[in-house]
Order: sequence, then C-alpha cells, then structure tokens
Amino acid sequence: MMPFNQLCVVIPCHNEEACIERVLEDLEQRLPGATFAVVDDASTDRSREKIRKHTGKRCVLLALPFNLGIGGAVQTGLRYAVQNGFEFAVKFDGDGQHPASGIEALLAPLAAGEADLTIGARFLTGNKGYHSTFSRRIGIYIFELLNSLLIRQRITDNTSGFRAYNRQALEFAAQNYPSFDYPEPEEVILMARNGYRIKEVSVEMLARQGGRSSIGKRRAIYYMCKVIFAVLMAAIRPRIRREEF
Amino acid sequence: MSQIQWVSLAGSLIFLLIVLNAVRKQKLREAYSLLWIIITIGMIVVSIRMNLLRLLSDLLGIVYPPATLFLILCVGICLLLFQYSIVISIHNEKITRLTQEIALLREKLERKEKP
Repeated sequence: MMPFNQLCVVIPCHNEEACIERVLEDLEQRLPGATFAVVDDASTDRSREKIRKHTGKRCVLLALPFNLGIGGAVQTGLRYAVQNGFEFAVKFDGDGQHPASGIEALLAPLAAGEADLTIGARFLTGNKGYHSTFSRRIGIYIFELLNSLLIRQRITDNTSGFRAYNRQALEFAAQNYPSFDYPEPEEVILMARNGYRIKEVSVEMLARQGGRSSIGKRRAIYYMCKVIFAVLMAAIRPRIRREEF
Repeated sequence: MSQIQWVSLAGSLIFLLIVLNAVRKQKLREAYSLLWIIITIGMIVVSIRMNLLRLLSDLLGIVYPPATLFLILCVGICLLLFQYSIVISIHNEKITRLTQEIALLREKLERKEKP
C-alpha cells in the first residue's frame, strides 16, 4: 500500500446527509494517512452535523457560508490542498458515486510522472460499472466528440468529476478552476490548453446512493447549452501564463 | 423648437444635474457616471440642434425625427445595461473568492481553538 500522507481528497457535499458518513468511513478505511477536505456547500439538511462527527486531524470541514455551486465548492477544497502543501489531490463526490477503490488507479499515472491530471472514466473498454442514464449518455457523447476535436486527444468521459491532480495541476486549478456550475467539461479544455497532460483511467462508477442529482430533466437543456458555450469559449481563450496566478 | 425637444432638453438637463450631484456626494463612482454623462450630453445636443437630429434621421432613413431621439436613448441604455452585466460578473467572481476565503479561514481558526 502506498503512503497517502501527501494526498488530499476534496469532497464537495451539498445535501448529502443520507450518504456522506458512509462515504467518509469508506475513504478513511481505504486511505490511511490521507487528509479529507469536505466542502459543505451550504447544505440545508443535516450534512454539516454529520461531517462534524468525523472532523479531526485527518478530516477537515470547509463550511461555505452560502451556496456557491459545485465549481466554487471544489475550488475551495483545491485551494485548501494548495495552502497546506499537498502533492496530490483527488476530487471525490459526496454522494457515493465514486468508488474509493479507484483512487489508487487514478494516482498511479501521476506518481509515475505520466500525467498531470487523471480522469476516472466510465466508458473505456471492458468497463462494466454504472454507465448513467440514456439521456445523460447522449450528452456525454457530444462532449466526447467536441472536446476530443478541440484538444486533439480522445477524452471519453468529460463529465466525470472523479479526478486526480499532481502539484502543478493542483496549483493551476486552485486559481483557474471554473467556479460556476457544471465545470467538468470546461476544465478538460482549460487544463489541456494550458499544457497539462491528461490521462483517463478506467473506473467502475456506482449509481448514487442517496440525495438528488443536481441536473433535473428541465435543466438538462440549459446544462448542454451553457456547457457547450463555456467549452467553446475556453477553447478560444488565450493561455494563462504562470506568473498570472 | 417642438414640444418633444423642450421636454427632452429639460429632462436631460435635470438628469445631468442629478448625475453630477450624485458624483459630488460620492454616491456614484466617477467610472460608472461617465456613460450616463455621455448619453445625457448627447441627448441635450440633439434636443437643441434640430437640424443635427434631422440629418441623423435622414441618414438612418427615419421619417419622424423625434423617433431618432428615442433610438439614441435606447442605444445608450443598452450600453449601460451591458456595462452592468460586466460589473455584476466581476462582483460574482469576487464574492465567490470571499466566500471560499471565509471557509478556509474558519477552518484555520477552529483548528487553533482546539489543540
């Protein structure tokens, strides 16, 4: 087992009282020595209380005073990881969709220096895990086409939020991560355009264990329009020089 | 001068005074007052110089010159609204940063309080 004391797991959480404890227990058991930064995005249920039960030396609660959306919440955790000198960070959903067992696979290419950012992907060959709903898969396919064309590298699962960063990618993302809603596909373009090496790792996802998806049916159309627009804009934005952040 | 000219001249002058007074009292920032002042002065100029308004109307193919007055006003308001959208977006970004900073500082504080 590799030592995890250089690892910070960022866990965005918004109204996940049903499963946040189980997620934390699972992670704590699997990743001895790792630090867990749980970002409570102003939950209105009892999530915050439940997280508090776990806070201690290895688990910290970052409590946002009001709701920022997933992008802003994740960025808070990334900034925590940068400020506290971690070498690696993993983004891990608080709803139990991401398998803790996949984290080591995500970290391996980073530790070997093969990539700066790894994405836990559902659709790489031979993957039998949770593949999401039909309509969502259409959306995912559109992003596969669009993003792969824009950065000339095949990325199959652009909406996956299960990602790992090395120190350089972490520092960059802490400053430049899209802080609005639905940031994942845009982040792929942002990181690739700024020279960070991306690698996908096959991961078996689980269906969510509780709580509600942030994307309802009506919002799906808004989601697609907004994200496609954001992706195109990210693709024609100038590169960000290091001294700027 | 026609009625609409008098009304728009009087209205624009009063409005210019309100804007300048707000800047004087530091209720309105100079940067945000510039567009207002430019639009208002534009309105005053075309209100007085009817031939200018007619020339402009001819150029644009507008038969009724006072309609050009409204057009100028509309364009001005659109510019202002766009400026506000930009300002709001910038504020959004800053508020997000502040919110994150609060969460990070609160965590640091709590860690110090219980050793």
